[in-house]
Amino acid sequence: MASSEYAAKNIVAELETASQLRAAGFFITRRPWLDMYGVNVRPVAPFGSTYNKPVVDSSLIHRSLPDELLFEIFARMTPYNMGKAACVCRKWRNTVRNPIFWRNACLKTWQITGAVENYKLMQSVYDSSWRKMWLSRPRVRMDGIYVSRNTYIRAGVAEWKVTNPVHVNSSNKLKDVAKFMNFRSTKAENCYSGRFTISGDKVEGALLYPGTRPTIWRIRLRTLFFPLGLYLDQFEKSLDGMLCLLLYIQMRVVLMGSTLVSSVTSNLRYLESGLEMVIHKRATIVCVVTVPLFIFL
Amino acid sequence: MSSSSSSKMIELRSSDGETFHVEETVVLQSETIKQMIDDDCANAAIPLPNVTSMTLAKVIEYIKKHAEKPKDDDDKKVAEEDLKKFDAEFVKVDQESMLFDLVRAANYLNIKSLLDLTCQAVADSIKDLSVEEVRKKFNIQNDFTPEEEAKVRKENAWAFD
Repeated sequence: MASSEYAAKNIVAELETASQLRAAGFFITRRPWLDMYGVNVRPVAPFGSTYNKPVVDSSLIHRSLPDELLFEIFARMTPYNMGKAACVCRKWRNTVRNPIFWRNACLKTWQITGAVENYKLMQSVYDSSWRKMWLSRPRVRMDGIYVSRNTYIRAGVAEWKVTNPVHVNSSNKLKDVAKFMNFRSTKAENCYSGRFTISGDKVEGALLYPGTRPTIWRIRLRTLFFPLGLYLDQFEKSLDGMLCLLLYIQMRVVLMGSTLVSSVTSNLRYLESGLEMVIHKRATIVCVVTVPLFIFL
Repeated sequence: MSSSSSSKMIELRSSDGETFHVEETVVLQSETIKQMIDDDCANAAIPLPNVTSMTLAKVIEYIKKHAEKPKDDDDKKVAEEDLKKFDAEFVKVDQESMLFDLVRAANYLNIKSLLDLTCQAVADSIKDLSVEEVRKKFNIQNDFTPEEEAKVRKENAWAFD
């Protein structure tokens, strides 16, 4: 009797607590995550690192600008500056990885192709990577100058000696271009300004050739400049009859006048040594003539 | 709406408690505040807890200048030139922290042209610098390991030629 009474009391008490708990649970729902609002949580560093040290970024730009504003700044850089920025620190490298930057760069560079066509190309040719497309698809750079160097190949006259004579004649050396640049004058001999369009790997240029009457020149060349540098095999491919070399030099250096011309010349020397390598491979070259150097600004 | 249309002045309060009175037509350049006015929340002073008085004064200087309307076409050209000059001078601030504050304020107040201007200024400030110079300018620590740095330099070698 007593035990059953005790049991009943116990059950009632238990039910009461249960209902209390339920009521409490109903009215005061615990939401521990609410306490996290406004608190910056850092990812837990791997074991053994200095995880308990508070990380304070020494850089003001990182402390005062959230990531989305860093993005806004990067979005206003040229792709070249973005490439450089990627080398600054890990945070910047990760920011630059955002494909949106490269998509914008691609769509801007190849506007003429159309957005839809660009998307298709990116997916089919460039492994769905905008960055890859921007790096490896041929394009015309408008921020520099181009030097054209045309080379004629003529069969040498074999005299009674066994070997053919080889004459290398460069009337307009690339270094001269640097000299012209020094004066910042487009009126310098053989320096003309013009405009490009590109279709496929062909460049079509028109330039105003000064004279008694302005003459429009139209040229069709293979693109010999690729963003990753000059490739000798591409030079080789175009070695038939007449050589047209488009050598690219950055304008940045040029526009700054005499102070930075040294870096132009060093650039040119590099390009010239590349050129010599090609020429030396062709024993049949008798004469190398350089005709108009023109500059596209 | 009745009170704001009668005075046409909007009161803005910066994070440090200073108040600024700006004409409604001027302040409408800020999408954030425009939204508040549209929602009829601008009868009292609008608190801007993310913007200091120094920054807010600069922002107001900018939107005031950009609110000026040229009278005719001749005036328009002059005004455009003038505005360009003003913008160029505007971002020439002594401290880079000010420029970052302006970027943040422009973003918070949602003034597109100011965000463009200030972000472009930051982007331009490093465009001719080498990687080391950028690190030095912004006091950014090089947190790459030597191997990583070599790798990232190789990946981006095209940007340096």
